[in-house]
Amino acid sequence: MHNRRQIMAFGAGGIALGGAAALGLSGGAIADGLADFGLGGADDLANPQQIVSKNGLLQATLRTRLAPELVDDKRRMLRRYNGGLPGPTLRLRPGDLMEIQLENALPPNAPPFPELADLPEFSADDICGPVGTSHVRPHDLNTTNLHFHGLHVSPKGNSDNVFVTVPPGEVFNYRVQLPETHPTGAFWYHPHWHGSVAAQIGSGMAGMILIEPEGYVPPGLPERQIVIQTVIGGDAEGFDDPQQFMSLTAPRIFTINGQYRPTIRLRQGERQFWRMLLANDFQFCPLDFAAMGLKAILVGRDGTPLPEPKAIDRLLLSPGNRFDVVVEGRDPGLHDMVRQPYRHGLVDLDGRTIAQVHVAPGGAASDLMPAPAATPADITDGEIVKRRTVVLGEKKDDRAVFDLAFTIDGQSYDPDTWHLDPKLNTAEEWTFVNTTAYPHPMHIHINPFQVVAVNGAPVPDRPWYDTHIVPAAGTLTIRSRFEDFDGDFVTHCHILPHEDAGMMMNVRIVP
Amino acid sequence: MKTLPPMALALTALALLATPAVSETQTMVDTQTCLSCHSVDGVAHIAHVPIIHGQSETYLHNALHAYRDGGRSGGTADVMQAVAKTLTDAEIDQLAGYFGSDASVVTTAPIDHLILAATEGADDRLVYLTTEEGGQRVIESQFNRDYFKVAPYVESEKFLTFCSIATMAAVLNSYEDKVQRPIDTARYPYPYFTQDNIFNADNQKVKTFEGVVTDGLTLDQIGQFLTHMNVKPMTIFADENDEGHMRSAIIEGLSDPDVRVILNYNRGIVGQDGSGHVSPIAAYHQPSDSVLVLDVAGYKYPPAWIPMALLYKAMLDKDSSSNRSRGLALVRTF
Repeated sequence: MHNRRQIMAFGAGGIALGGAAALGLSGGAIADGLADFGLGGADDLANPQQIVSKNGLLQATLRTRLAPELVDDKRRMLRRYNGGLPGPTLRLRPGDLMEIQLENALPPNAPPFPELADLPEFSADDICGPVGTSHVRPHDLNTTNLHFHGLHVSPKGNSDNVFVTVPPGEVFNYRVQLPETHPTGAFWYHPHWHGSVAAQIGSGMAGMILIEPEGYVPPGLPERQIVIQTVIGGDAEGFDDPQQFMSLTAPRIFTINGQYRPTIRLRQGERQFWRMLLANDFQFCPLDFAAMGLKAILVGRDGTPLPEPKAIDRLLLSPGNRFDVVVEGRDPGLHDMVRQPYRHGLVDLDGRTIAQVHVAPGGAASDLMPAPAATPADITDGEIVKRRTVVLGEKKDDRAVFDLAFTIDGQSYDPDTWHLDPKLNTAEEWTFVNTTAYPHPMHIHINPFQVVAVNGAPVPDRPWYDTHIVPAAGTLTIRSRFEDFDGDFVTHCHILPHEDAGMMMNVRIVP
Repeated sequence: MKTLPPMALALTALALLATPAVSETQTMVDTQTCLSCHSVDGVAHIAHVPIIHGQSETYLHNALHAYRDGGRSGGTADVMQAVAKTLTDAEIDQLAGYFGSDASVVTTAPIDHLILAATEGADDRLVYLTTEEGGQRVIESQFNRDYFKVAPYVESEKFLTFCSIATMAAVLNSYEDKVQRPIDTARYPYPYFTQDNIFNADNQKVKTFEGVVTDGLTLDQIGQFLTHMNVKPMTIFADENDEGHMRSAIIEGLSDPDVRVILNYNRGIVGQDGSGHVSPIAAYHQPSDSVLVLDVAGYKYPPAWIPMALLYKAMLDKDSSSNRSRGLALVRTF
């Protein structure tokens, strides 16, 4: 029996990728706005290529390819969108329509068991599908689809539907309608096909999405996109070996906008608007702005503006998080941007320099800020119609890599389980309970959530996120409003090897 | 169907039979699962997770049942509740038996973390007595009499939850012949307060030995215990008094030879591993506005000078057992 996802594979919208399929970008590509400020040149970090909506419509082709690329000092096998690391940034206005043609030009999938390669009687479905092996270990690493992480859009049909399957050689047309009321901020797109997510994001597939009304970024305020990726630096033989890319300590290379240890320039007193995204598979990235010689003012988290800008020194970026930060050059000099040391459960990850920040003396002070943008109203006690406990766990499973599968409510991902079933236009409070010795950054699709408590301790300002850490052996209590869109999607750990090893669960918003 | 080579058959069979099935008769729980959070090497790696090797079997048994039955919940207790809900009675017995026995004790636990705590301070806001600065403060302190009275009698708590009992024993022994000590058979003919004979008949009505092993005593219960020990206790709750008043109460208690000061605080708030805790206060140092706490968990930390402002915050913490704040118990002889 095929599972639901596989049936959707060849549903409406899927057409074969022929030899004559259109190549490259479809309109709207513009130059890096940093050039207007004398930034982003040869010795400064450049923004990714950008595609902008016109007259309410963004049309783009995203073509995935696998090829060796120079990352640090040697070529590594990478999967990329349109030949970029990261893929192009998509910039839209609330209310816009986004039409994306996803062309999967990755090579054919390797046979699930090389021993069976010569036995045409057996397909992956015979071995994996019916007994669920495909839900606890990586497989079909070149099959893909798209997820629009953080967007508040429909999860159905050709919109943010992560149950779509796009095998190698196929094309799928996404059509995503943003509501007029869509929040202002930074989002991203990446593949979300259960079984190939870790391998694909871990080898480079990701790009930023910016949604904002006209005039949000004032003229005079340079905007930098800072897309942090941690591609896995295996050699060609180690590439795509699950034993490597499923491991926390795999050799990951931190890049920003595809550059290895770039220099980021600004002048003392000058402000820049940093749209930060940790577009990676596993490792957390705590940053210390004071240590970078910068003053930092946080204006948005995970695509939701703060009610008031807030001065900060540090940020913890979990895989998938975005932070919109206005930075100001404070201390002249060359400072390291360090992924601060981080205790990942029982493993200590060392600090690592991922870039350098050069604050040149003698800039002109600027008080520029992005325009104020709406924050959703706090979710009140009275709105809560249901409280749920969602238990995160792990279990021995010899079908999984390292014999370890991850679970939610006691089971690894099961496409037929639908007990998380909030009703449309209601609010609920969920407590994620982590019974493992590792932190899990939990992500819920379609609607942002408000963090109410961590380890039972109330979080006073109740920040909005769509991905937030559940501490090792701890708890995270969140509230979410399930507004505007009914339909099926998922919640999962954004440590993507955990997701591919089963830490994902269906959510159904019931009309 | 074509004949398959043996390799293919083996793989197919493996895949088809791979649904995990736990045998009904299998009661062996993997203790490694517990230890993944509760420390495999005897060192606390996750701040709020206690080490369970060699704890009391009774304590572990009761705690696991309390988690499973919902008696302990909220905050990080929800984690153990989720775990305990998957356990049978037999598995709880088995786990409590294992971790309550010497067999579970890790003999290779590195001790450098303790030495580090003693010399450098687990948190730089605290000054440990074992440092030069810590000793100097005792000498400089104008309110240090209780240190010399109480410190000789401090013994480490015998269970994780016996901080209040060990504290009462030390404080009561410090009165020497002013409070009549009970006869303890193990020390006959020398009378002495121990962590066993604190449980006289009246106190067992307040809370049994097993009950205290399970979840300790609240500040109010400490007061009730002391009324049955020929002393006059007065409890002072931090949420009813400001920092200045709590400081005055400590100084007045330390200045009066007939009074001892017992502290109930949340040690996690002062930057140490752990949460609710009880220990005697032994001195106050005016220049640094800090208080010397004679930790009855000496196996974890030596006595520490804690800044008064920080200590006040740690006393304001709500004790989930009583739903009240923590604070002080002043003990006076008649």
